[in-house]
Amino acid sequence: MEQTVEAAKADSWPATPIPERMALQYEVEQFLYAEAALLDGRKFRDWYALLASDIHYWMPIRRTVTSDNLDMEFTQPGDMAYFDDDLTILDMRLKKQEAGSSWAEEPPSRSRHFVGNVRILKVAGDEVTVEVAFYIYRSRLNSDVDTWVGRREDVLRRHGDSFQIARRHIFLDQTVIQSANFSTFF
Amino acid sequence: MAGQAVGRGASPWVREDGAQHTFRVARDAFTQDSILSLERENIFDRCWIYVGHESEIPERNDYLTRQVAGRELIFNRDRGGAVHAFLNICPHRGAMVAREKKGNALGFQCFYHGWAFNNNGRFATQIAEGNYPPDFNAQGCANLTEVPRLESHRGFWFVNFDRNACGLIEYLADAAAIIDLVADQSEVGMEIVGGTQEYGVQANWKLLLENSFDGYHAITTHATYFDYLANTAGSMTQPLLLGDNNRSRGVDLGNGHGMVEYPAPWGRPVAQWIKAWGEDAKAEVEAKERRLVELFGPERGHRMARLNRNMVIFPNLVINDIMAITVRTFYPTTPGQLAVNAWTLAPKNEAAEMRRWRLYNFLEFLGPGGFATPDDVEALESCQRAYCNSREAGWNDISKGMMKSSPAADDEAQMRSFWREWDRRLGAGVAP
Ligand code: FES
Ligand SMILES: [Fe+2]
Repeated sequence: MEQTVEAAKADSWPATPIPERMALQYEVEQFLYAEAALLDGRKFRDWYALLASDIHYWMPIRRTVTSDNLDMEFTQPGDMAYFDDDLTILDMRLKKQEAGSSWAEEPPSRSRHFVGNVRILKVAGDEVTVEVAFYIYRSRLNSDVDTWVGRREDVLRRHGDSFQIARRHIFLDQTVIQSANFSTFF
Repeated sequence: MAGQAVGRGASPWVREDGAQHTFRVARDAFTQDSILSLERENIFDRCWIYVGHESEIPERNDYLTRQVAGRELIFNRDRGGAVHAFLNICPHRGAMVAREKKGNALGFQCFYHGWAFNNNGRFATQIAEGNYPPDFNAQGCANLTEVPRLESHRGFWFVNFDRNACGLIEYLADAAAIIDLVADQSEVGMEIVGGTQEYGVQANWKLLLENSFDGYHAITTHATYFDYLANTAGSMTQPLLLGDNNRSRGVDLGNGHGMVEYPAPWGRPVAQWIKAWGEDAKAEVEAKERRLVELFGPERGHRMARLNRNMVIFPNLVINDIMAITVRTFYPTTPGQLAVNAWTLAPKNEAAEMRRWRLYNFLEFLGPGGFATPDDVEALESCQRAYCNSREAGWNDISKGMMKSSPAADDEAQMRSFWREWDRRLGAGVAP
C-alpha cells in the first residue's frame, strides 16, 4: 500500500520505553504545531528557515484504481506530480509571494492548518519519520473556501534543540483537485 | 435569436467591425445556460475532440477511462493492437462498465448483472438458453457502443460524435503541420509522461481557451515568473519578444484553430540551452538542434528548437510547445465552471537528466502548484465573477492588433479566429 508500511517494518521505535517515546512525541507535536502557526500567521520566511537544505517537497498525483492495481495509485518520482520541489524552488515560491504581484495570493488568503494523528514511524540517527493527517482550510477573497485533506509523511532532522524539515511528502485524499490552485503550503 | 441572424455583424454575441477595427464578444456568452446548450449541440457534438495520445495505451489490452465532451469513454487497444473508443456504458441497463482510471485487461465486465465484453467491444457472455432469442445480438445490441468516428494524426487521437463530419486532417487544416512540429521532435516517438493533472476552475471554458494562447497577459499576470527568470542566474537567454512583429506572430490556422509563435527567455529541452542546465546538457541540447537542422533543414530545424508555440485546436485542445510541452483539454460542467485535464509530452528516448529539467520546467510554470497557472486561474475566476455586471457593461474587447497586417503574439488575432468559428458554429453571424 503506501510507503509507510515498509518504513514501519524497519522500525525499532516501538521497543523504546514509554517515557522516552512520550518525550519525543511531545517534542515532535509541538514542533508541528509551531510550524503550522507560522504558515497560518503568514510568517513564511520564518517557516522557510525550518527547511533543510536537501528538502524534498513532493505531492504526487493520485488516481482511482481497482484494488489489485493499488501500486499504481500514486505517480512515482520522475512521473507527473503537483509538487516536486527542492529548496531553490521553495525559495522562489516565497519570493513570488513577496513580490506583491502573485495574484493568487494577493490579497493574501486566510488559512488554518490542522495536523493530527501524529505517529512517529521511525527514528534513525538524528532523523524522525512522522506521519500526520492534515486538514487545511483556506478562505479567499469574499467567499471562496477550499479544504484539503490528506496524509503527510515528514522527515524531521535534529537541529540544535529543534528540528528541520528534511522531507515532506504529501498524499491528498482527492484525485481530481477541487481547488483552483495550491498557492498555500502544505 | 440565432435563427434571425442575417449576416456577420448581426450575431447577438460577436460584433466585428472591420472599418472601425473593433471586435467585441458579449459577456453573456460566458454565463448563459442557453449558450452552453448550443455549444454542446453545435460544437462538442460536431467537432473533432481530442481523446488521448497513443503512448497512453502503448501495449495490447491497455485501456484508460476519461470524460470527453460530456461523455464517459473507454480509450483502449484490443488484443490485436487496434485502437478503440467506446462509450463507457453497459448495453444491458446502463451501468458504467470500467470504473477505474487505467489498466490492462482482455475484456471488461459490468459488475451489475455480469455482462462481459471482449476489448474489441463484442459481447462475450454465455447466457443460459431460453432467456434471449438465439439471434439476440445479431444487430450488435449487446456489444459496447463505439464512438461514431475515431481518427488520429501523429499519435494524437480524436473522436467525433457526428458521423457525417469531415475527416480529421481536413478539419485540422493548418494545425496539422504544427502538431508535426511537436511529433517530429523525436525520431523514436513522443510519449505522455505518467500522470494526468486534473483540476477544476470556477470560470467559463472559453476563458481558459483565450488564456491558453494569450500573449498579451504574460508580462502583467506573470510578472513574478519573469522576475524569477531574470533574477535566477543562468535562466534567461534573451528577452521575451511577444510584441516584436518581426519575430513573433499570432496566426489563424483555419477552422477556428490558432496559435502564437515567439522567442522566449526560458530553456527548451528541444533545443534552447540555458546556463542553469550545466555544460554537459549544453553539448546534448546543441547536438539535438544540429540533428533537427540535418533532418528538416535550417529554417524548420531552428524553428522547432528555438521558437515557442501556444496553439488552440478548436474547440478545446491546447498544445503548448514552450518550456515543456503541455497537452490540455477542458470541458464546461456548467457555464461558470470547467474541468481541466493536463499532460506533458516528451521524447521517448530522452536522457534522464534532460527529462528531469523538462519536468522541473513543467511543474515550475504549469498546474495548480506552478508559478503561472494559479495566477491565470485567479484572472479567469475574476472575469467570471465580474460578468454579473454584463447587463450594464456587456462586451469584452478583442480588437488588439486588428489594424496590423501581421499581428504579433501579444495581439488578439488568434482569439478572433476562435470566436469567428464559435459564432459560425452556433448558427449566428452567417446567412441562413
Ligand atoms: S447493467 Fe450491465 S449487466 Fe446489467
Ligand atoms: Fe498565463
